[in-house]
Amino acid sequence: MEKSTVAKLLAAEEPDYDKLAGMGAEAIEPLRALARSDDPAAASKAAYVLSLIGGDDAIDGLSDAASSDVPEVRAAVAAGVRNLTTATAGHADAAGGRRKALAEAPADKVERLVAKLLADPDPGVRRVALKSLDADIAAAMKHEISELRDNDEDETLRKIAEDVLPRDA
Amino acid sequence: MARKVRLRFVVLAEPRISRTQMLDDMRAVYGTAGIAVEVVGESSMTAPLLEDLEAGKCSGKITTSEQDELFAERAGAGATELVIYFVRTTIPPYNGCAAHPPNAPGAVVAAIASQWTLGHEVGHVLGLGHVDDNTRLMTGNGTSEIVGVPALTPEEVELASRSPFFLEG
Repeated sequence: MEKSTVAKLLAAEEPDYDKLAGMGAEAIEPLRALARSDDPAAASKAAYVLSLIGGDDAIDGLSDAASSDVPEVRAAVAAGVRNLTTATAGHADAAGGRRKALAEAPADKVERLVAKLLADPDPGVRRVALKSLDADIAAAMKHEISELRDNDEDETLRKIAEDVLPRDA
Repeated sequence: MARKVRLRFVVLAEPRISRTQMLDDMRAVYGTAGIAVEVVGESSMTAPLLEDLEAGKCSGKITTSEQDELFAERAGAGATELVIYFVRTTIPPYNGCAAHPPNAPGAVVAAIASQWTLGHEVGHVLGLGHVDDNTRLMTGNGTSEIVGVPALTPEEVELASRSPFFLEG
């Protein structure tokens, strides 16, 4: 699939993410390139679609995007965590559904990505990542979440972390 | 100019393209169609949990709990005024989203928005749908694809005039 074709599909004001997820594996390379682009809109949307498609190569693309200088792009990666953490078969549901990406990608790679997002310098990115965790991945990230719960400078984030991982858990 | 729409801006995060630029560009389009755009107020809003806003599928009148919470803050807007919320990101990433709760007319504009997104989303609130024409404001191909100053057609102005938010006099 050509990068220019994918870019046009992402350009929509309100993209149809269910449809974009259907591009599948052949879109991963152009999506990775777009997620690294200087266009924050294209990069954000590309990163989110990568999370919907899932799999090892998509996780690598998300890891690259998680190092973006643009907080909106990193927030899109953090939002995409919700699509990575439950091994549910079937077509992606872009607006809050879960996907089987974790099953398709090494868990340690996903966990490294999530750890990076939970340590992001932007509190909003940390908040979005924390809110996007499901029970399985949260269980694997207890150390990082307890660190946020106990020591994060952002009060709202500490409260979210407390909800995810109560002190007496 | 007797016909107008009235907007109120609530700013949670500043867009990458300035609000002034977006407003000027919206006025260029709507003014050519004989519609004045009034901004009757601007205010900032501190709500860290809503800066990266869950926007669901952004279709029709279906809204998320976060959209409901955000749109409940009307900043004193009257019933026929549209409240435009400038957020950092939506989840999933959209340039903007015009889905709003009943009796809380307005739209969200994200930081990644193009210069035409504000006018485009207001067009949705006024009842306009997407078209497959990149010379028009309501293109469904993405307002970043627009070349030159886009148009609102007479048919679109006629349709918008039936909206309760399209004011005469």
